[in-house]
Amino acid sequence: MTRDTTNAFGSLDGEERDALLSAYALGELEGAERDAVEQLLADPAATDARQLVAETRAVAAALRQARAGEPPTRSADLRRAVVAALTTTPGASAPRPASRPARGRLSGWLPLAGALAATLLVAVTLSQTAMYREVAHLSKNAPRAEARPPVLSPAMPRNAVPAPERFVVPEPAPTMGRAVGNANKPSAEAGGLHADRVRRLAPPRGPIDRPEAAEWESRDRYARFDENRFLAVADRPLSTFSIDVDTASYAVVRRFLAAGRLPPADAVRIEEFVNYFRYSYPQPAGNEPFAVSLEAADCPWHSGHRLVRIGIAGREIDRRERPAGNLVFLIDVSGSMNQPDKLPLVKQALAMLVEQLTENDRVAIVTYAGDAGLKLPPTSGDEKRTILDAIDGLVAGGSTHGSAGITLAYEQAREEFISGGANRVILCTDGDLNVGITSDTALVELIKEKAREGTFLTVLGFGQGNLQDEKMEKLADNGNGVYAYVDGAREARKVLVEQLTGSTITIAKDVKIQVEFNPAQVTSYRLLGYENRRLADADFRDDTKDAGEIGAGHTVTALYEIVPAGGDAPAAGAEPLKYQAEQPRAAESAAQGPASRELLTVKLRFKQPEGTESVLREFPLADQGGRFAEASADTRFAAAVAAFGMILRASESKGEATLPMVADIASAALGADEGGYRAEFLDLVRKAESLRAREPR
Amino acid sequence: MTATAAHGWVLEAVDRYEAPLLRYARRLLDDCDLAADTVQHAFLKLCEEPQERLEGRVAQWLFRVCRNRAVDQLRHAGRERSLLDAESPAPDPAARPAAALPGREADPAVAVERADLARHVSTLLACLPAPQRETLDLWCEGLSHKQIAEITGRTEGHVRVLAHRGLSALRAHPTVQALLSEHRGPSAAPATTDQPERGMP
Repeated sequence: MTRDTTNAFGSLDGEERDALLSAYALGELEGAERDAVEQLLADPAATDARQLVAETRAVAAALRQARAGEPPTRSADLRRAVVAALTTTPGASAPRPASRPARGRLSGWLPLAGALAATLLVAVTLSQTAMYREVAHLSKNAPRAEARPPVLSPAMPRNAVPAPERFVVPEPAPTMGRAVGNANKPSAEAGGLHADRVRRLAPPRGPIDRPEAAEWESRDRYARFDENRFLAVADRPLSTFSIDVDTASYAVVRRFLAAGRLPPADAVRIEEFVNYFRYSYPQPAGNEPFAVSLEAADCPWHSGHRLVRIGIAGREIDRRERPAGNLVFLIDVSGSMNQPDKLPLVKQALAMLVEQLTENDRVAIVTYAGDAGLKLPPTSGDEKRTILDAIDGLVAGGSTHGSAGITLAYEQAREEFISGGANRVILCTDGDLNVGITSDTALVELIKEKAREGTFLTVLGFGQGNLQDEKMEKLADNGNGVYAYVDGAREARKVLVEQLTGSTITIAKDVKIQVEFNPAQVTSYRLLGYENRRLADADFRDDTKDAGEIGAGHTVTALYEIVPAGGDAPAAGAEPLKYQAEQPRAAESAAQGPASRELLTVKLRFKQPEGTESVLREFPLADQGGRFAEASADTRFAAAVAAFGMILRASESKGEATLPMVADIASAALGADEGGYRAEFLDLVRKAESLRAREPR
Repeated sequence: MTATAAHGWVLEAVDRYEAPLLRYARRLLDDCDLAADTVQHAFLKLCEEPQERLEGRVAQWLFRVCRNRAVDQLRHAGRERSLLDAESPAPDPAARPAAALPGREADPAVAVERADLARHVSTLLACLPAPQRETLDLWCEGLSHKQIAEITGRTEGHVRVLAHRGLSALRAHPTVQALLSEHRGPSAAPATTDQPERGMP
């Protein structure tokens, strides 16, 4: 600062003085301080003070502007929880005698209300009716404030201010060098074109100095894979792959970024990124299990290329209309489950699920590998109290009794078998698959046999360090079920509540996609992601070849980057060039009729859940030449997510994609963003941006 | 089943502060789920508070409860150090902040991008030391230095210094300087030099 400013500020040292100027720029000063600063700024010699104030204002305004540009985040749950908390406070709901001071009455209830509120923190999804019943129960059995309320949600410590042990998962400290799949590991592609499902484990989340964390890390593998390349339509007019609704890669990368590290390239799987998000594709008409919507637009990262989005929407089944569920939970209660992100999360997930159940549903709980046995015989879905009590009673650890495990679970399922319903055994574990049958073959045989009888197996993985991803997925595959990894409350909600109908009701199986490109319109194409889901073209019609299942309400998205015929110029609507070598072929196909204007045709094969023969559906796309900015928000968002993945992979195909571009596209394509997932994505992009800025170059 | 009018103030607070609290918690915790839980915790605590006790300081109270909860969670996860780190005294406003920020050698991509000041400063904000970042985060949510002092348990003077250091670091970043000079127009001081223009001759 210049010496003439010192006079106005007496003995303030340099930084204090400048801090005062900054505070003035922020409009934080009043009275004498403000007057002093204004006096200083009026001094013609105080140029740098004025510059400080002006620049600080500009920077502060930019900060606030950036903040204002962030999407508002709201959660219906919060409001509901607050309303429930308020209405369960007697002072709020019941009319009270006017003579009684509200304060005194309320305060008598406060500890209780607090305990209830704490409970609510987890059991927010408990319906309000159930909550009312709860209150009735409380007032009957626990009229005194100090009495301990029943714990609705098992995951919660029973005091008013719960210790934060529940969701606190130590952040990952994955060491990239070791996490990256090593070169000796066989490439995921090695198994040929058919998806060689090398699974990835989630990155370790424990502090790295813990011995088991080091152990986890050593088991951590990201199967190496090569990205799809551009293929010439002339040689390869068909592109065939199995649908994939896995989303694990996104959760894994989120953990890396939250820990302040960029993920290793092979942890980033574009299709799992893109499919992490929900898209509002049009629903199918009539009884069709799917609707397919196609859109083409300019490719944002490569001018002259086109981007095609294939969106498949599985028919939604209203939760109230869904078929009755006969659900048997087979829960691992071994000692290793005694960690915040394991059994407590299982219990929380179950409590969320219970809310969705009706009197048509049946729930049973069987435990294994610890205090094993039948914890809840098949119980009607409207007896929520009974079910929640049973959930509450689950404890990890204890001695291992001889465990009937999975056999017992299937017995329960058979007892209550609902013809035409969703009969499921839902295995919740951190990887201990000692479910009572030691032979893998026998286990798979049992699961297959039960699947044939109509009881499917869903596998939910929790925690990590021990997670036998590959094996768990194999079990679910053989049981016609879904395998999902649950890493937190939100994921639990996604899997068990939002997708309840999806993860319990398979609406089609062995879903395969084959895209046929029109050489008159397309020179070459590249499928973004799905590297491990590619199928041989011939497998498309081969009903003995397995592929992915799709559940009610699921959406599946695939993106193709396309080089239009006629070089890098956009082909849409362009007349074929007269002297190009391609000309005869183009003319020939033009003669065949309107098909020549089509860019491609998406062919979809699937089987009904009980079917053995596949059905074919075809969906042609004619490129209308739309610009990227005019594409639907879903397409733009999916493109941003794919571009983000490519950047994190340092993909050769990322073209002109940059993180700021991703942020710009995504922030303009948030849509309704139910659940705030897209806003979270934006945060991740910014996080990656700041991490990359920090990297030495 | 509706909350009575007497509790309207809590719901108003939900409407008004949910989004700012979520953003704040998310920045503290780097985790969407944890942040949502933290915010919910704060509001459920609010339900237990008599309105008159919080008259005029609902915002500070909510942010503070949120912060305490977040610190607990960070501590539990062994990550609280950054947030609670005492700000080092080193008050060399010209040299220190710039050195702490990335991109001194101006990432060419970033330099070419040069899209807009808002995005750059918000990206750079993420790289500031936690106490500075937190102070500016809170200020951006519309809280005054006085409120921030109450929330973070620091003195107002300390908050003022933290905000100043953060802003100075942002200002001193070469990309920001370049953009600022664009804002000022061509006649203004040379932008990309590390020596800001000194006082009039």
